[in-house]
Amino acid sequence: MDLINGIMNVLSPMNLLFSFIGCVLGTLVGVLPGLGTASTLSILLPITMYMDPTRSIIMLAGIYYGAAYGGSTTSILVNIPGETSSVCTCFDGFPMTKQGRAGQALWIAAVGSFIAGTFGVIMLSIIGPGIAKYALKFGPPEYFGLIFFSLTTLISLSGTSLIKGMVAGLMGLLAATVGVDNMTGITRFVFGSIAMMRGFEIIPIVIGLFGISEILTSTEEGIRKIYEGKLGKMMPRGTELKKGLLASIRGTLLGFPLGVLPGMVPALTSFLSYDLEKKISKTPEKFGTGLIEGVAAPESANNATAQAAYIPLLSLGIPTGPAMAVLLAAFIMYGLQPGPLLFQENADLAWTIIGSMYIGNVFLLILNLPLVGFWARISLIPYKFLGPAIICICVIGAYSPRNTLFDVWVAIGAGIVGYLMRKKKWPLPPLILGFILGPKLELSLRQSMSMGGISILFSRYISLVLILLAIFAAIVSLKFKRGLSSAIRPEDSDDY
Amino acid sequence: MAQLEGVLILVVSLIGLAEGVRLTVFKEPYILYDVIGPGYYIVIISGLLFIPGIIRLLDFGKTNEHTEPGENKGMKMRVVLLFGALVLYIFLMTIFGYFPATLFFLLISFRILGVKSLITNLVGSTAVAGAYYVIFIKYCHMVLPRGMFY
Repeated sequence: MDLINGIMNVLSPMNLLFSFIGCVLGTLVGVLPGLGTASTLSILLPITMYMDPTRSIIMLAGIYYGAAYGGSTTSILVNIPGETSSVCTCFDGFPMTKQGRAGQALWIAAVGSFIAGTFGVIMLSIIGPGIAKYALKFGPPEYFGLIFFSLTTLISLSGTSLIKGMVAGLMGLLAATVGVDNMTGITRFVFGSIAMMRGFEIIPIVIGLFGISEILTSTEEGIRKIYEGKLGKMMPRGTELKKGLLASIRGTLLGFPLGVLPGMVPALTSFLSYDLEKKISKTPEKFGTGLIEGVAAPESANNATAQAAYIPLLSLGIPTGPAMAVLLAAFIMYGLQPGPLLFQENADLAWTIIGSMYIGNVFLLILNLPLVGFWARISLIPYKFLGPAIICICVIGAYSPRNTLFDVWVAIGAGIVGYLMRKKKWPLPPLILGFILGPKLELSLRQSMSMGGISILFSRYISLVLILLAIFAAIVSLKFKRGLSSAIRPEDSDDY
Repeated sequence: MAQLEGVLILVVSLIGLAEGVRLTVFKEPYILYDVIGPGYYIVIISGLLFIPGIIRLLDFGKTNEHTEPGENKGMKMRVVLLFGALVLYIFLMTIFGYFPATLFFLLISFRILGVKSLITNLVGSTAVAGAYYVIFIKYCHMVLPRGMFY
């Protein structure tokens, strides 16, 4: 019933319009190389401050899963992935285009994404409220365990160097302590500056780390050309159709459970899914020559992961990656706290967002199939025009939350840090998640210590299990990363 | 390069340790502290940072440095110039206001990034600045930095 009410809310004209705008912007973000999801969300977030909270969250959510759809178009047509999660799609998608089967590749990518997206939303409707209900039993020790697990898993999975991930995460935690301590009112790291007493605002940091740094990085890339070939027949037939759909289902079933884990970004699951298809195929040597499974599986996996990320965000208030972290910032900006209480106190909003995902998946199917030529031409826009225009929006975005130029300088500083980190292959997600989750981690630790000392973290079974899982996940991920093929380098991912 | 990174990490770690010790040792007399207080958490984080800082400084283990074959110096210079234009943009914003500064920044940055035609540059800059004025001021009613001319 709640879900039906949510869908009915979305069907109001204005909510439908904003869902559509989000899907269009998301597809555009996916199509344009050099413009990542987290960057776009961070740039648009302050602008949405002036809009109705429900509509702006619907729009931002649409951008996030829309980007997962849009990245495949340029991957298939011009061999340039719009998002890192679409890199795998190039391997077989572009060869299919060269064989005159671009239409079939685009069709299976869109339909596979739709299957994965719909499955993800259904599972979110079923699992999300259940997890939220269970999480109501969480106290400070459990939250400490959960955040510790999230950060550890994220650090373990981002990049091939554990040291770099750890440093980035710890730097984020440290940056979060700047300003006034919430419990005692004492200032930390202000060095006599009144501006620093307010601490760092999340939006300028995200805009700098993802928006400005991405533009500085992208100015070093060249201009792209478009492929002028024909699309051919759209829908595959017979065995091809069966293989494509089965690969989509496998990709979905792989991408969805992994997407719930912190650090498991769509880029990674798309590679895992492609790897899996190769392993189970009777003709693995043909991968890379234009197999439909090579397009269907990674596209489905990346969409399923994108949808699954909403489960920990909405039900526990834990973002699994930077784009989710920006969405979390959006919720906080509107005075909402995602987590177990969201489904209790703002059930209407939560179900409206979930309902908008159903509708959004339909919009995206419509946008991605008939308008594919249009999206391919969008990639013609040279970055020399886009880059400065986006910087100006970044400045507005950094200034808007507190109307102070200090935040703009913070954004520029974060931009330089982000640029240097990208150049030197340091992972960004641990830094931003450490910054966002740091205050919660510190608060839950200090509350737990006040309740019963350090032993309470190990005497409460949920907290103990989460801490042990964190250690186990770190050990397993170290072994897992050694086994990754050299084509997969998570620290290269610009897509968060 | 790893050594430089190690030095930077150690500097941050030491600053954090100094601040954490300050907060732990010099407690305010009239404030009620919790068990940990505001300092111990910082000491723990900074202490944990110290270890990877030492590792990077001494460059233990396999360094995973990626050397870019023949980096394009021209493109790097563009990035430096673009960053310089951005810093200048913020300074000018405090004097002239958002829109005049934005127009100036767009003119400069289009030129830096390779838009050679002056007319294209002028038209593009004016169009973008104008569009932002309509969207952010007229439609969104946002408050943007004001200066002498705006």
